[in-house]
Amino acid sequence: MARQEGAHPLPLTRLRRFVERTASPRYIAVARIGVGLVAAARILERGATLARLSEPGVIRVPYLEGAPSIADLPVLAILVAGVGLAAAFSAGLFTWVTGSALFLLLGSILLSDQQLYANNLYLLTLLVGLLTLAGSGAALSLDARRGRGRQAVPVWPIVLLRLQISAMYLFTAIAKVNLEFLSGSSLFSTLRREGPLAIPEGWRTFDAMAAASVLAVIVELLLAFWLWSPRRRATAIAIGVAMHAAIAVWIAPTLGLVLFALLMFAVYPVFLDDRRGP
Amino acid sequence: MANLTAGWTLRSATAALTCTAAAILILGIPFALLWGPRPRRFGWHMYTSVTVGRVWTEAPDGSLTAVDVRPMVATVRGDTDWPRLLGPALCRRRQPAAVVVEWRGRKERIPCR
Repeated sequence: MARQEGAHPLPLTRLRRFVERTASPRYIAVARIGVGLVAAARILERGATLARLSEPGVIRVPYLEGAPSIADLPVLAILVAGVGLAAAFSAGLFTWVTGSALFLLLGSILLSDQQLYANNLYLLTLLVGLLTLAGSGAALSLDARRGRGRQAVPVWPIVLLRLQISAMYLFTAIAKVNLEFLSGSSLFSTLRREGPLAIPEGWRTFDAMAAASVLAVIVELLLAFWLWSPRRRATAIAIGVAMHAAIAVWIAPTLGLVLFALLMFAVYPVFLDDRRGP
Repeated sequence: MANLTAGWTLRSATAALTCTAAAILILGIPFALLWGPRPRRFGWHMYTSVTVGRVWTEAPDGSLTAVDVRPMVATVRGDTDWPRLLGPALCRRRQPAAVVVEWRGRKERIPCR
């Protein structure tokens, strides 16, 4: 007997209904502004590694032997192009074009040499791509001021953005369930030891480091799921902000982790809006 | 069949395919990378291990000399494939009998030809 659309629709019908759903573009627009700004700072930060790669005597490790590398281009040109694209993306100027170009540039940096890889650069690249796909220039943008705004955008790229954030928290938590991390030795070796924010020597005990490591895994697991729950979302965001702020303050090196914290703060708003647009 | 395709447009079909493929990649890549040594790139293995490798050159008489690799690399990361990275390069530059790399708890001897 053929199943009909209605109370129990076919999986394909449910998928069609899902991809046809729309939402307000407001929260992804907020995320676009923040992610674009972080992208500009991240490109400047990667400039040091790009410059180092262009020094004679430094080994190149391409993913594919003989593949062209972005490190062959003048570093200044990469930085100027990258920061310009990131600023335009953040402002929502020709968002589809600047977002796509920024995604390609970040992807080129990420994939041109194994030494240019960084987890936060990988995440940033994926987020720029998904925000571009989501039509994040539809609101709070120069495009919208030029009459190219929209009241509603498709929901499915927003769900992919949420899935990406959750997947990152989930898999980093699972990967940390090993003796080296849970013993506290990873945390111990990365804690800040100098300056006014250094953790006092007496606090860096085996028990404290192990407890903090277990807590980090639990928090990341909670974030992977609680961000989806309307009832627990505010708590999850508060916990996430506290965790990333603590990491940025107490773990070295600082700049990369501050940018990672800012990136996460920028994308939390994509979890906020469940309402359907017109 | 008509029941399956009812209501679909080229736009909704493209969106459904793109969404499904992206979701599979978002979850599938880090899931696949859970099985194997860590940390690995693209697996979200941040701070799972802080162990970085150690490298020696081996003279023809078998004696080992520790190598400071920092002047030779752009970054020192735990997920970098050290034997692949440093073995051939050190063979070319210092011409030892072999390069010995300790990485992810394993020592690997790379003979230089």
